[in-house]
Amino acid sequence: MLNNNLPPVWKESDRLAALHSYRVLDTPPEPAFDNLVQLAARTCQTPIALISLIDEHRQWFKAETGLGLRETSLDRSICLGAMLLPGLTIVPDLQEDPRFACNPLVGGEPHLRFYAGAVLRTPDGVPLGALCVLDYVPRDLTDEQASTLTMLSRQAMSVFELRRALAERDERLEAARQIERRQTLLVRELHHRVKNTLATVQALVGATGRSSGSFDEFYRSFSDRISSLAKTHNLLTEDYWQTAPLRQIALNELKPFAESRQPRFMLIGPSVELSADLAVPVGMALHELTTNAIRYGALSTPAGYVRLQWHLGETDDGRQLRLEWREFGGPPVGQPQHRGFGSTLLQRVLPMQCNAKVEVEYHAEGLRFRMQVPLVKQRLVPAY
Amino acid sequence: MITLAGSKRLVLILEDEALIALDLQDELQDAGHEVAGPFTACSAALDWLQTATPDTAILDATLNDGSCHSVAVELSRRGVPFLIYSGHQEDKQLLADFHHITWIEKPIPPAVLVQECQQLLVACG
Repeated sequence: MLNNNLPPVWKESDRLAALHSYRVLDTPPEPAFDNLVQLAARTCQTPIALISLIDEHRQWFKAETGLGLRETSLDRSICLGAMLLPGLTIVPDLQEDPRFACNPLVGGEPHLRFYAGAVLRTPDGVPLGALCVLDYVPRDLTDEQASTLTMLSRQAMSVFELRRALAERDERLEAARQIERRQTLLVRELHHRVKNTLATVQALVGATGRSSGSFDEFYRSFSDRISSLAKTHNLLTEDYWQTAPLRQIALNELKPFAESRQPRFMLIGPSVELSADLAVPVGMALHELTTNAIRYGALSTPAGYVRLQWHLGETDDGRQLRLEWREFGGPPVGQPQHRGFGSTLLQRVLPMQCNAKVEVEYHAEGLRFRMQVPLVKQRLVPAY
Repeated sequence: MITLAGSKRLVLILEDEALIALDLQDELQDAGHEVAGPFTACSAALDWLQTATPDTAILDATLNDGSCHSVAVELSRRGVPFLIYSGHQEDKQLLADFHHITWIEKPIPPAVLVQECQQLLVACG
């Protein structure tokens, strides 16, 4: 009955992928499979019956009766040979068959002599293993026993199919639940940010109002601040409202000067992503610095330029961002006459909001602003 | 205990959004009050409360270091009236054990918030 010349129509890697898709290896015994091997042993009147699955380096038994093992190495597997053959494989005497005589379970304990195995095949025809019966004496099966063993193997396969369908359904449900959880987090985060943004805008109205001399001045400053805030939010939205790249935040403010023939600004520093809690105040700070430079500083004259430089460093308190805004070539700088919103933002909001250490120096050759701020790594909504 | 003469009162601000806190501070100061803080974390407010007591307080419901519950408990113990200024309806659950809380939804004009504060002070003498 054995035929070694049949070429397989599948690749071993595909066969292993199919086997693993049933998610059955190393699961505990289950009555549905235990009953099938007991029925097989009873029908064929053998002391041993197995549902054997051929894994990469072992054969593993989903169910067994009479053997007392859950798995063996492949060199001990008789099913490995049977699996490669179509239908039912019967070996009346293993000791007499050259392919199995040297199998340790045949030559040594427990001296197996008889084997009959019906291949377990997926609907696509890929063999996974066999439902087999074994005995310690040479013998044969009746036609009725043989056909029953084949039917039982198909029954085992349909239970495997069923459990795979259940596992796939559970995985889909779990994926759907994860999406739902993420959605809830996003909506909550969105709600939080919108409320906070509105409250921030309201505070901006108050602060801009207090530092403006006229309605026109108020309107211009306030509109500029809102559009700067909007640009930072654009960057955050690209990452689900989580982080924004520092370089991009700076470019948002300085972009109008990018086209000039002479370079008006330099951005020097490594790529760094700022969390929303940091991106918004840093964006506002860069906006105030740029506005100030355009009105009074280096960007008010054609020869002036700004150098924005940043470094990342590790301290005992974690990762720190050190940032320096320095103006060159502008008109001589003196101490400002009054504290406007810009200086409030730099000197009070940044320390309060971000635990930043800030220094503002009005050097004659140009304003210098330095900030050292801890980088907190926190995402409220997990990244994809 | 710090008490101030006349209508000038000491208002504690606990709010982790610096811009909002500073705007509120300006508004309260414009209305003639003194401000304790603004504190951005409960721990900082509790430190301050070790040596002083405000006449009233404005608390954000959720701070960087968690819910304002601990500060609310301490203020209640001293009979200091306070109001919660929050953007989150769901924060109410965190403070469910306070029955007579004045709850104000963010955002509202700071002037209205200052009025609410003054009403609290009047109601409590």
